[in-house]
Amino acid sequence: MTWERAGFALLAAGVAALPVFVSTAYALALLNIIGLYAIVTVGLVLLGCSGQVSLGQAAFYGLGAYGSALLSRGLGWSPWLTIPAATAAVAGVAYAVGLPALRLAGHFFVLATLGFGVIVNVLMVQLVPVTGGGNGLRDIPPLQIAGIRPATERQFYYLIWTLALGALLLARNITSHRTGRALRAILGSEVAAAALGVEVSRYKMQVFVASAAYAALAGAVYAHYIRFISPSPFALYASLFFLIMAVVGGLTNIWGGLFGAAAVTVLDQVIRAQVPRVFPRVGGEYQTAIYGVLLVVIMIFFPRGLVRGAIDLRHAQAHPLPVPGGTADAEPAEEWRA
Amino acid sequence: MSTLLPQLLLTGLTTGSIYALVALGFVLIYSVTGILNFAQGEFSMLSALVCATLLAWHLPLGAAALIAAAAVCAVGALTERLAIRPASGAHPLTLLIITFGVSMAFRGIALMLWGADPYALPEFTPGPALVLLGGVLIRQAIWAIALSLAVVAALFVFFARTVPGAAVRACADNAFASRLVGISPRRMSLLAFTLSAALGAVAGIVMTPITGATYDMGLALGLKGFVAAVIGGLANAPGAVLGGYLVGLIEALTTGYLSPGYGTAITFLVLLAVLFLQREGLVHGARRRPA
Amino acid sequence: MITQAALARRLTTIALAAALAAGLAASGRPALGQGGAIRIGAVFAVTGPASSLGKPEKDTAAMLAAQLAASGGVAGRPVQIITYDSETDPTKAVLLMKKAVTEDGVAAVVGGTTSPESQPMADYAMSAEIPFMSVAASTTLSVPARAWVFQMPQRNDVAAATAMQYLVALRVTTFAFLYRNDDFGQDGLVGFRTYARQRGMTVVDTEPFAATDTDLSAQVARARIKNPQAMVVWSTPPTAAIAAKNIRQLGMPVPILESHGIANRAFIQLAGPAAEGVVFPAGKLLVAGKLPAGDPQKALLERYARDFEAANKYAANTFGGHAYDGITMLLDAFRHVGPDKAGVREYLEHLRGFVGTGGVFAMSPQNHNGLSTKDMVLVVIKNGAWDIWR
Repeated sequence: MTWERAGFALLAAGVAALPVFVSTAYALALLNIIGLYAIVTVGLVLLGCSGQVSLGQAAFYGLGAYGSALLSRGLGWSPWLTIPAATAAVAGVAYAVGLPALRLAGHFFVLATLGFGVIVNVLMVQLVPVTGGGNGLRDIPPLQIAGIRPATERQFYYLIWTLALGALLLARNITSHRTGRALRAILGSEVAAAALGVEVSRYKMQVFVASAAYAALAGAVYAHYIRFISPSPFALYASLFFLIMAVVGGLTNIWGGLFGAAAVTVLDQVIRAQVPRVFPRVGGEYQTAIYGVLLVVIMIFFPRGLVRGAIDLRHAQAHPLPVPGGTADAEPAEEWRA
Repeated sequence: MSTLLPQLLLTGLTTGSIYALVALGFVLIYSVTGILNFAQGEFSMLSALVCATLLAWHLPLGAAALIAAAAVCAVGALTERLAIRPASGAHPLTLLIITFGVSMAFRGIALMLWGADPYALPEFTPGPALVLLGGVLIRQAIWAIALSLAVVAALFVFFARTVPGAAVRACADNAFASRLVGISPRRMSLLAFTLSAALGAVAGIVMTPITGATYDMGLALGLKGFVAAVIGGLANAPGAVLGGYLVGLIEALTTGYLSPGYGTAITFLVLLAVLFLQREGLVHGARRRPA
Repeated sequence: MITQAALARRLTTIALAAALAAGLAASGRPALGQGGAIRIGAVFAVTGPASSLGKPEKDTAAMLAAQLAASGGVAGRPVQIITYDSETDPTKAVLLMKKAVTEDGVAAVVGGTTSPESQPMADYAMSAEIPFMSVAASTTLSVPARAWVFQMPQRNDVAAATAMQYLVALRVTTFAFLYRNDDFGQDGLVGFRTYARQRGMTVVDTEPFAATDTDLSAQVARARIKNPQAMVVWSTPPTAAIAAKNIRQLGMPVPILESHGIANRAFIQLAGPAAEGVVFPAGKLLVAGKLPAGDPQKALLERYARDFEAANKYAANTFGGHAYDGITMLLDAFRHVGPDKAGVREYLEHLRGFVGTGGVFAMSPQNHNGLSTKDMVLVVIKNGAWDIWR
């Protein structure tokens, strides 16, 4: 436990000191994007702790963004007010969605989150008078941190990373205490957990709403950061990438959320920058193919994510997702490379 | 409105045939290996584009189609060997991400080789469209429906009457027991991927004369096929076929009668309602559905 | 206790992280001034849903970069064009623009393939005070004009106005409007609704569809019920071609008017016989060969088409042309005032009579697009080839 506390302190110190060494707008912007994605991914990992997988996080991210943008643009409220307001509102939406959705098992739950994501995206495109449709919303009011000028890249960096570290801390607290034990029990077996008196549906709802709130918070900050939003960054493809970040980091480890978001984003940027050096005159096609191959390679060599979970995933081998035929159960250690 | 319904039904049947094939491909791989193959749509894309290229090299359509399908089957087998096999035993989500990485790689390569523009394939039997009960059915759509049904029938015969087919079914039912009787799950995994690739190839080649083929057509196609497969129960081949037709019909009907803009959203709502109401996927209290 | 395998994994993780960090640090380029090279940043959607626009744009930039390398640059200074793939993602687009400006030291940026990408890029251009040549067509990018933002394509409302001339000439009073449900299609809808009202025409039906739809019979059937005298389709291939096919398959003999998005050979191939007689507005690139000898654009267009096809093995299209205009306009500015950002901005703002692929540009402080309906023609597809409609 103390290793983890030291690690967290080190991370916080590193985050605070980084802008001294890395100060171009690009580097700070990249770190800001990573920070926002990390918040979403940590939420996804929280959800993963109960064995649920969501393909709809981009919808919550987008709802937070549109919510805060519309409130501040339409009602003139300060973003400092609209960001928490939007986050709370989306949490409410998640509760309403979770009531029917969480009663579905395994793949059907995934499909429900996917469907929710599609429906939200369609609404963003269709409700033109409200959302601006495909053309999106421009001139979103800026966030002002110190004074009247819009926040700078550096100021956003500190804000976003404070939120990210806070999110990490909160998630860690959730998973290391009673809720965490309950979640681990649910992860192992919902039946056994219920038999032991764990209120399965209550805990599942808690992490579902929490993960949606995380995503919405990140989305709301995003809206005031980029100051232009449109439906396209909030589609299924984005949800898939959030999932990839979570899995690459390690789906049941909170730290994995942070590392996954960083690794996936940085990998993309590095590939796109470096490949033209090897193959001059080459465009994005090569990078996409190489990225795909690298993703496969990373998952083959790090199947449990880049950060080994503290939670013993052997219990999780009972599979939160039902696997017919018991394929994996039937092939334990001999097929598994440690 | 009287001419709308027959037209929508015919459209729904046509698109449903394609979705059924893709859904079958999903179900085949899932039931044998437990993997959700996100690259399923890419098999259709590759077969269509390879066929278009072979045609441009002046091969007759039949030969081009067969060679393209065979090539995609090889790609499917290679995918299983190179990307899936090394990760066998990993968590299903890891495998899902691997298949997503594979689909990205295929898309990138397709963009490199064929560029971003759409490609066309000629109709198998060019000619005027048929008018059926107030709706128009183009000839290629008949090919789509007929081929889809033929492939499904052939697949069922394969499963019911042949030894390899029985082996696949056994493996899907219970991998452990299958190993006890000497069936190799590894071989079955390879077979599943190859067969699924073949299914995807048929879907791709038969739909392209209607819709054109682009390097990124696999995404939407795979999504629809996935939805259809899950509706059908995901480990259930007849369910997948029915799911495919259901998705196609609901899509056509909601677009036609309710609102084209909200069509996709309404389709998903209806499907989710169906899922919820039939309770097949629900966790009854705390009881988990047996694997 | 830690196993050897686990130790190996941890070391690999650390090595991977270090490599990534090093790669990130090394991906910046040496600052401007080395050898006096002038750099242009080109951010296009080479992959993603808009790649059919972004790839020709990138390939045009690559072609020009090669030509510049061979000819020694501009005014004695070499010119480099650095391309970035925004993946049709507005977040990545503006991020890469920040990279181009703050790490790679570019003097100006061309790009923003789609309007959602161009919008935040334009905002950043204003705050970073760097000339930005947008290749997206949304009207709001240059109306109202913003100091550092210039727009290369004919605007969506201008294209709609040009297309409308066809309906006016045919004297139709009712038409149906089928459109792709995104910024492009929705812009077209607004434009057509406005012009229809002005001309006393009625839009009897509007039907949206998704870019990934594979069959549009439902939409066409719904429109057919309202008996329009013409069908307008506002999209790009493949849906634009599918719509045309469905319209003919459902037995509607009415004229089909499409958008400038079908200015691509693929449309003719995909639509087959349904393409016959389809009319659409376009820049003059497609019919360069049919232009009268005195047309100021003719020589440039033919040269561009020839060079592009030779370098890239596929036919040039108008989207690549927008990138061409953006870059050549910047080169013209560099030739006259050097790579000084404010100087370039000032120069561009007063540029008149500049011959590009999109038209003859007439910029002014209030008009940062400089094109009008006179820079577009109505093209008709006859016998599988393009001709000017009269």
